[in-house]
Amino acid sequence: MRVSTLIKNAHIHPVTSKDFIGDLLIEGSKILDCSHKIFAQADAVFDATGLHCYPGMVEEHCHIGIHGEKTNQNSDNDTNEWSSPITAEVRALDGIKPFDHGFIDAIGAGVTTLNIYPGSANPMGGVGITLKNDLSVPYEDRIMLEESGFKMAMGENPKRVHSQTKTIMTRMATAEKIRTAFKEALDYQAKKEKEPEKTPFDMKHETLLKVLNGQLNAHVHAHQADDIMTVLRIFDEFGIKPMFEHTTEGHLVADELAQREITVAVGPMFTARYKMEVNNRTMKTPGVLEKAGVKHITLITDCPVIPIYDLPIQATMAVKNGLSQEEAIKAITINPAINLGIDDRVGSLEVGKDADFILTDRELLDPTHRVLYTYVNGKLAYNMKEEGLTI
Amino acid sequence: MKTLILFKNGTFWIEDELKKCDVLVEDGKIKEILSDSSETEAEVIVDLEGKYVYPGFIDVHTHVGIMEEKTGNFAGNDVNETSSPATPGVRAIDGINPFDPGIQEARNAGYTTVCVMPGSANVIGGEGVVLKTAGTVVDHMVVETPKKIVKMAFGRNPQWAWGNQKKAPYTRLQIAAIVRDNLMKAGDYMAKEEKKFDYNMEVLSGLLKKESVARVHVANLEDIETIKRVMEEFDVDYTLEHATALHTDKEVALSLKDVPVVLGPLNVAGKSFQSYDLTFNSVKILHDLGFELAIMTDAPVIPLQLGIIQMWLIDRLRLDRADVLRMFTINGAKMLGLEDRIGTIEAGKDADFMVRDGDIFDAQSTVTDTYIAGTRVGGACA
Repeated sequence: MRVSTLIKNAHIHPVTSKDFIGDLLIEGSKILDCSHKIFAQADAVFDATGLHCYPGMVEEHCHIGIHGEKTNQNSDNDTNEWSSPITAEVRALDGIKPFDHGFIDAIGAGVTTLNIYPGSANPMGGVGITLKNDLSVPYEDRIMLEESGFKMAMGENPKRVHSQTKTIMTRMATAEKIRTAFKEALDYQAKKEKEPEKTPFDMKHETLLKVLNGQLNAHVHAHQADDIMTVLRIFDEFGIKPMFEHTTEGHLVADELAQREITVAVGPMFTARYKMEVNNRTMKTPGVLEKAGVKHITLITDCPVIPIYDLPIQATMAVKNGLSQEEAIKAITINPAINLGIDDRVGSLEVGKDADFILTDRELLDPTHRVLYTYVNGKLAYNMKEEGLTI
Repeated sequence: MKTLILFKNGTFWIEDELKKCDVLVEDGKIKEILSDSSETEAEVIVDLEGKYVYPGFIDVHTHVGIMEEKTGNFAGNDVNETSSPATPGVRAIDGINPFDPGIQEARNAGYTTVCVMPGSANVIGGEGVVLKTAGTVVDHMVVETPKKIVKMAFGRNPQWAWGNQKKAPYTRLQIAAIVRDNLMKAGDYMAKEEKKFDYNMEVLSGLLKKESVARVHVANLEDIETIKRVMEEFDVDYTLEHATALHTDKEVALSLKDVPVVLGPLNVAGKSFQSYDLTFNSVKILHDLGFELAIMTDAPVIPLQLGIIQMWLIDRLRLDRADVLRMFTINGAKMLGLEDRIGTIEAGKDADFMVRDGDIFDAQSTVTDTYIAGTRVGGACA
């Protein structure tokens, strides 16, 4: 039997339409209605007068569960498969600790959908996964996208890591490794078509073919503008389009990104300038990108690089530095959902979508807000009164 | 020739509340707080109509200037003198670059006073220094403190820094032993009538003579208790820095009620390593036990530009906002023994102001101007 809950008199922020004071009706795991006044019988009625209701937030780029928290340094860290610069065959799916403390922090912060990538040590790091942050069900049942995106990385990190293996000493080699990997995958495909019996299955090439065929989007870690442009150069050669992660110098090539209709994720913006490639980090970047016409700007914490509860605070700071308030809320809800291709299920409060929502005592972009309740798949997953603040 | 500046029509944070008034500043010091300044002859008038003015923020635990931003990994990093696990004779002031962009952004964000200390790799790291955040010559930025500051570190950081190199200290046992050994030697040094001058021993003697205070990096509860044991053995004044787990045992916390505690950095992730117990809730627990806490950024761990975000997050605990503001201003001043000079807007103190275009707890308000000793030194930080 499906349980229904009626949330009454909340200040509802559907994100994809204008906010209003009204009601939200959920049944089972879905939103049944969201409007000014709902007259319906429900198993439970919740008076949310004075509270704000937002969709559960979507974190497009984090390492929660794969980079374990509350553990010692290495035992639970499966973020980077350092053994080779090209590890297209590995999947985040196989490295996640489903009960890691990071998931609990995310629920308390109101983040209900998490996209988790391998790290940035390798030019081709592996395949990401999108999870619904529903800790009441087994790991397998939380999976929204088993293969959510293909993680790549440019710039300092691959260079630093793989100079130790003498495979990459410069940015030139990072580009070369990527080109060669794509080319080898195409050769494999040609051979497979010609001589299927003589071509053994190769997981690495199969994954790269999904990227080259457009079945799997490449999400490329790139901070500097020159790294961004190198990616575009290579991807042009293979007729595909990347999405950028971090995009620290995106404001320097904003017009280029807009004209090419490239989507970008920006963040984490709350770090020190501890390496050269983030020297130009500025909280103005999202606003500049918006004004240039870049669509579906997404903000990311890269958690545990910065805490997951900083996701809406980055949006606050982006607004202070030129991003519109409307786009800032979208950048942590519907935009990442669109970029991951799950906007039919999450990212806004609309009829038919998953009943993932939060109730806060102040507006989400006010960093002094408290998340009082988090609902995931229609179930109450966090109650601040009982569990305390998770910051 | 004295300069009189009148800061007029502002809304000032005075005695724990916002008050509409004027503030007269003479030669960098607050001379008088006036409800009616029509009779005042000031040479310069600064109109603060519509502005909210707070005391300049104080961060008593940073590494700005010594762990420079925008220099890559090593070029501007002089934070840990890891040639030996005990380097009491080194001084932070000798490694500070006043042109570190982290310092510039600090003053733009309204932080006017910072304490810069060596890092936590060494058991005894060296001497720290208090600075105002504006200037081109570090010596002119120094604020003299009644007691000198000696940085120490217990627990995992010295263990990692040294144990990983297969050198002592491998264990917590050796960390305590190094401190004891050094303080014993300093006692012997002091007792000698004829002695060869030794910088290391001079600094340590300062601790035994209570002319200095040990500022001790610590996370875990067991280390907190070890620090208490060792410091009490030698009757050394000390503070607890970070004190990540102090809130987890009220009995232990209450036994340390007279020890100044600096919490933070709190707005950081990765609850791994030595920070299992890291939480903003510790602020409320310790505050409710009566601690006068100061909050650090440990900049550049959190850049000072972003330090105020910790204040907004602390506001989620719904403490009295006046108490929260003290954690970023006067409580730090008291810890440094500078409560007569900085930390509040009152007559006789330095005219160090953070001027905002709205209430400080409204995150959409920004710092428009920062004043140090009555001189505008920055602002325009969102």
